[in-house]
Amino acid sequence: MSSFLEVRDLNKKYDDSFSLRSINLSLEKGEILTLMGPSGSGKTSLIRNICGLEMPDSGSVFIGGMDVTDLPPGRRGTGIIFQDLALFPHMTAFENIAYGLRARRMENREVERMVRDISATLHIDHILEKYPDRISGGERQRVALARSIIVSPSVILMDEPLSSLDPELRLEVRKDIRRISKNMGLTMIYVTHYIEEGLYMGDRVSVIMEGRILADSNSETLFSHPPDSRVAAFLGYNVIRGTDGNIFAVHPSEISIGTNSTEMIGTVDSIGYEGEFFRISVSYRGEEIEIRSRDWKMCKGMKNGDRISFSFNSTVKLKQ
Amino acid sequence: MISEHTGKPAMGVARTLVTWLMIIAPVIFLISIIVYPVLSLMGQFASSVNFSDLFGNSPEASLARDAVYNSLEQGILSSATSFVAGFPLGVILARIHPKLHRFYRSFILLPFFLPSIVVVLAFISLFGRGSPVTSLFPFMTALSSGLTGIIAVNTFFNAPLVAFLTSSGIERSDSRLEEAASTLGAGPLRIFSGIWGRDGIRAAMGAVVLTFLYSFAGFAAPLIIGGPQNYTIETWIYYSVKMLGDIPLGVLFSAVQSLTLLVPVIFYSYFMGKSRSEVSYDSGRMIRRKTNGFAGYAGSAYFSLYVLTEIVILGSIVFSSIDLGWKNNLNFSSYLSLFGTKIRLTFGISPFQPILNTMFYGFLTSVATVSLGLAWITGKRRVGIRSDSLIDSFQYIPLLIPAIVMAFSISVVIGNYISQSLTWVLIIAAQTGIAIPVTLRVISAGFSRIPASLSEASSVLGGNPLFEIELPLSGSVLATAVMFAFAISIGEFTATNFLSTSLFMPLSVEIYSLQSARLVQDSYAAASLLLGLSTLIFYIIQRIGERFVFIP
Repeated sequence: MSSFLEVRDLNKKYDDSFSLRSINLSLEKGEILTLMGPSGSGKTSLIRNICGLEMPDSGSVFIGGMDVTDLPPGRRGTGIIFQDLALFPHMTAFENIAYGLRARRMENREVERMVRDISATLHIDHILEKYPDRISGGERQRVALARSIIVSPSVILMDEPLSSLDPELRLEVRKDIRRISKNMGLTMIYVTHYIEEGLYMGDRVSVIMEGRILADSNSETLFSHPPDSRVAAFLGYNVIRGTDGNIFAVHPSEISIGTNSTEMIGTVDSIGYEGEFFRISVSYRGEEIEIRSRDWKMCKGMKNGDRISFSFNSTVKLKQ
Repeated sequence: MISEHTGKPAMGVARTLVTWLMIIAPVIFLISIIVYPVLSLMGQFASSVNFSDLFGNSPEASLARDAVYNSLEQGILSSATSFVAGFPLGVILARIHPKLHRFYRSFILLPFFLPSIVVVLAFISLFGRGSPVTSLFPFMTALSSGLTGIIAVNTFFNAPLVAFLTSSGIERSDSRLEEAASTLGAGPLRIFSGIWGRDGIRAAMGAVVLTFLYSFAGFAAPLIIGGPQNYTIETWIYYSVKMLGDIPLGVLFSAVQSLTLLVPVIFYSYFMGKSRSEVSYDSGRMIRRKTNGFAGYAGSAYFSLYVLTEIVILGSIVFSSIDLGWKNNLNFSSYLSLFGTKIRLTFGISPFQPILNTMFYGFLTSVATVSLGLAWITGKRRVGIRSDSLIDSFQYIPLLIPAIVMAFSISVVIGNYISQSLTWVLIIAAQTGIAIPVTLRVISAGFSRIPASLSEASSVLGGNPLFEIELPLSGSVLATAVMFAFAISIGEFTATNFLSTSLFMPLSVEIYSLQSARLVQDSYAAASLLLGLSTLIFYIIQRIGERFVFIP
């Protein structure tokens, strides 16, 4: 049985240095897929091809079993929330939310009712008469979300929608988005390059790099068993080649600092305290290894140039 | 940044075709209305062209070579003086930000929107013999005739353009760069030369090149106050074709003018592209400073002096309409005459006809130019073209071809196919062609400030991005574009004068016709009317533009 959203063998060449290559992606109804990758990896380009803002060179996009590849953006049943939210500055929050309904020629009374309902659900009913530049960042996020979901799109695409928020508000809004999405059974692709945010938001996570999907699994599996060195490095692991030639990944929090170990000795390049742990950068056999240590005693007083010994608590063997 | 990579939007074949037709609509228009007629005319007369008319030893050839020299001389001197007068004004408008800033900005720009013939009459009135100014300062009569008069008129006409573009360039300058340079220890001079001054100068350079183009192809001033020894190529073309009936000579001059203007047009295209490509939606806004000390006082003094000069020059037109020759004999007979039977007897038309024609041409030229501009910019946005392409450079063609040749070609080649009662169509076509290079730049600059994501969001939601998003957001820019097109229509004299008959003449041509018929005071009354009309339209369009939301 085919999935609710399917991207089949999609290719798109942008210029000599970048193209989307053989993208295959699927998403079940009500599922949230996080699309993660570093800047310039092709995340935004992929969702622009899915929603029809760009046309692939080859390949297909199916939504609800229907091939929508040749349909214009407004007829694909997708909703998109842009990085800058793209709220229309000359319209009030109400008019922004009602925009898609009015484009569908719905009756004013019905538009009014639906906007009031969704606004109450998203707790923005008190700012409906205000213009976007008169409301807070969090409220703007909710208005953008309301504008997208009010037209009941088959799939919602979110392109790093929280990037302009401060960390505290990010946490709050991302919780809201996940809660609302799950309550309403929304099918969503959520794009981000923040690892914690991506792992939290997605039922499943796809990692895209240089225009290719490199990994696709649930959050826990992906994080505990990154499939290859590039994905592991993106997820924050140290990727190390062992003396036996094997490549393995070790997470910075899975490295212990000792004084007597004779296994590995490196030189401290930099050290800083981040509240929950010390972040230490160590040079070891020409490689840079990051360590996150909560060992206050060991780390206090440590300075650049100190030689320290360390050991790995657990490692993940990677494919060659 | 919306997306790291930009690709083709989803479009069917038919839609793609329509979109590309929209993109090349202005070029198709220009090819049909200007390029084809001009090339046809040149082809028709190429074999009759006698190069000795320009390169020979006859007195006519010597005068013709002088015309080339005069055009260059007037172009270079006018550009330099317009920069000297206009650049400080632009800086003051953008940086000192005087009280009633918007009003002053509009007022300073007003001369640029006036027909050149009105400005010429103003200088004759104010600096001619017998005026109170020249009674006090006799040397100022030089401003009403000869080369100095032409340069003064060109400067008064173009310095506002330099000021306007300079202030716009400075206002677009990123304040964060200025703050960063300041914290790094850069002094005011270094910040000026490296940041906001550089942006202002770059914008001013575009205006300077435009000034050169307009002055090189000057017509009204050399014709009326210059005399044959100061005739530009444009004036010689008019003289050759209209007075001598020597079309091959006109064609030869036209080719010389087009070739000479090719270099500045390329420069203009470069400066425009450069200033537009660096516009950033999220750039920090310009810092406006209250400048104290010598610079502040000097700036304020210069600004006040300029505004006062402008009031006096423009006021002299009105004054001359009620007291020609400054004889302390105020009367309104010229207005009574203008709307009386004299006009009907002289030109055989209703006295109100020129006013109606002026409004009619202005309205239709604005609609045609802005429609072409909207089709072009909308098509480009749909396809995702951000910078100007080679096709867009064809839009500068009207700057290359002398207006008089344009008009002559249109009348010969297209005029053959339509009845004389449709002369107004030819006039509007010529005015639209002339308005395209400037108006489309205004539209392009305005639309570049609308983030693509807004249009895309509208598309995805099933709305109409053009009518629901882009037009409302670009309202103030469109108002400015309409204003430019309207002003060019009202002020265009060369082509309109060539094409129009009595029935179809607008106020600008009526002024010249009244002058030619020695009805001097009546011509000042008509010029005052045109001045009032221009000001009123300018004001109304500005107020309409202010009602729209403007994206910073």
